[in-house]
This record gives sequence, C-alpha cells and structure tokens, in this order.
Amino acid sequence: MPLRLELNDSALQRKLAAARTYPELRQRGGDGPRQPRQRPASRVECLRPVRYGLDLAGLTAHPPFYETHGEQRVAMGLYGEVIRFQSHLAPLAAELKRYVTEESRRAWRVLLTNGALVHRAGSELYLVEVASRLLALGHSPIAYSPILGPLAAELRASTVPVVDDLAAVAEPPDLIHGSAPSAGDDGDAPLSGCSGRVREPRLGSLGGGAAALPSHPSLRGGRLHDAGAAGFRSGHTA
Amino acid sequence: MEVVAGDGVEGYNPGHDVCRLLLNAAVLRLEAEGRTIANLRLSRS
Repeated sequence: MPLRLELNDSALQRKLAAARTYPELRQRGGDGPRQPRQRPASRVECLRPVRYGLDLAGLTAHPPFYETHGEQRVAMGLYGEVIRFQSHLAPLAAELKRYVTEESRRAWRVLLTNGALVHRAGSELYLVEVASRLLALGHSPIAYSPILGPLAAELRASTVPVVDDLAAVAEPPDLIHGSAPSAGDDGDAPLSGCSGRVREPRLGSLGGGAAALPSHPSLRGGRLHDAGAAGFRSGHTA
Repeated sequence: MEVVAGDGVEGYNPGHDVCRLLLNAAVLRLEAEGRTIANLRLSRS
C-alpha cells in the first residue's frame, strides 16, 4: 500500500525550486531550460515499500540505461569505462548480501569504558544499559574502568565482564565505546593495552567531549576529533 | 528511526542504484537485530 503525502503550498514551492536547480531537467537540444511546472501531481509525494532487499534480478531493463549511455560516452571519449550491471552492480549487491549475513550472525566484542564504575550515576548507568542491551542482542560487552565499586559488582552479577586492567582483555574488541573519566582523572587513561589488537577499532563517546576520551594509538593524534560536534555519540570509525 | 526513504533501483543512474543497495543493506542489518523499519522508495504515482 503506497504512502501518499500531499504537500502544502510552502513545501510544494520548495520542491519546485529545488527541481529547477537540476540540470537534468533541462530540455535536450530544445529551446532552453524546461522549468518544472506546478501540476496537480507535483503536490503529491508517493512512497512505496521496498521489499527486494539486495536481490536486483528483474528490477531493471537489460541492459540498463546507464550501460547504453555509458557506451555512448566511452565512444565519445568522455568516459574511460562503462559501468555495467553484471560486472559492477551485481557483484556489489552480492558482497553486501554476504556482509549483512555474516555481520548479522557475528557477536561483537564491545569494550565500554568509564572513569569509574562505583555509583549509579549518569554515564555509569548508561554504560550498564548499553551493556545489558548488547548482551541481550547476543553480543559480548566488556566494561573497563580504573575505579571499580558496587556498580561493577552489579555488572559482573549480570554476566558482563568488568576489568580495571586492559591487559585482562583477552580478545581484541571490535568496537570501543569510550566515556568521560572521573573527576581528577587526567583524561588519559591508557587504552594502549589494546594497541595492535583492535580489529577495525571504532570509538564513540557517551559524552564529555573529545578531551575526555582515553588515548589510543589508533586514533588520529591520539584522540578522536571533537566527538560531540561530529556526532560521534553511538560509535563511528575513528 | 522508524522510516527510511530513497530512490528505488531504476537502472538509470548507477550511483542512485548503489545508494539504494547501501540503504537496503542497512535496513537488513537493523531487521536482523529485531528492529522494524519501514523501507520506502520515492515513486511517481
């Protein structure tokens, strides 16, 4: 069942103004630019469900337009190579399918860090919530803090491993989720124990800004760029 | 996030088709984690 959205006057004018900036809408060999006009159909945005996932068979004409267009461009000396469905798009779809299947089955080892795991305070409870949810999803969270207390004991009781020494992390994490250190910490709690062992390390901040993140040799300049400003709140490749 | 929308695979611009592939891959990943996402494509009618 398609979803139909009727645009109000303001939205319609923004849509038409945006359309006028597209060179592809200019007439070919005609009498100048064709200006998108306001028609009844322009006011309706129609959205249909996509159910084909990564199976592209039968979705387009064969050869698709971009192949015949590309062949013409190559003949004109404008393109060096034709992008083709069978040799480019289909292999990409197959690789994405393989990736999605493997990643969906794989349990991630996620190292969650915090300055302290003592009291039921803000970032501490956030770490507990994230670890619990990761565990429920079948992943393997590990909590690290140089200062452990009752909250660390709670985490351990819920089967989340907790360490105060990164050398105790036997397997390299797939993802590091860093958070603010405790007051008085110099913000440089070392993650160097993971040096050279982190596969495709990613690092996010639960808050506290870049200066609060522990150092790691995989991070540019030893630190992630301004985590908050860059939107690094849920884990991005450093 | 509950809804994503983008162009469908049309065989016109391969860049658009690649974007749709990436979008569908992301949705499949989320669905594998138990999320429900409405995956929509822009249509003329």
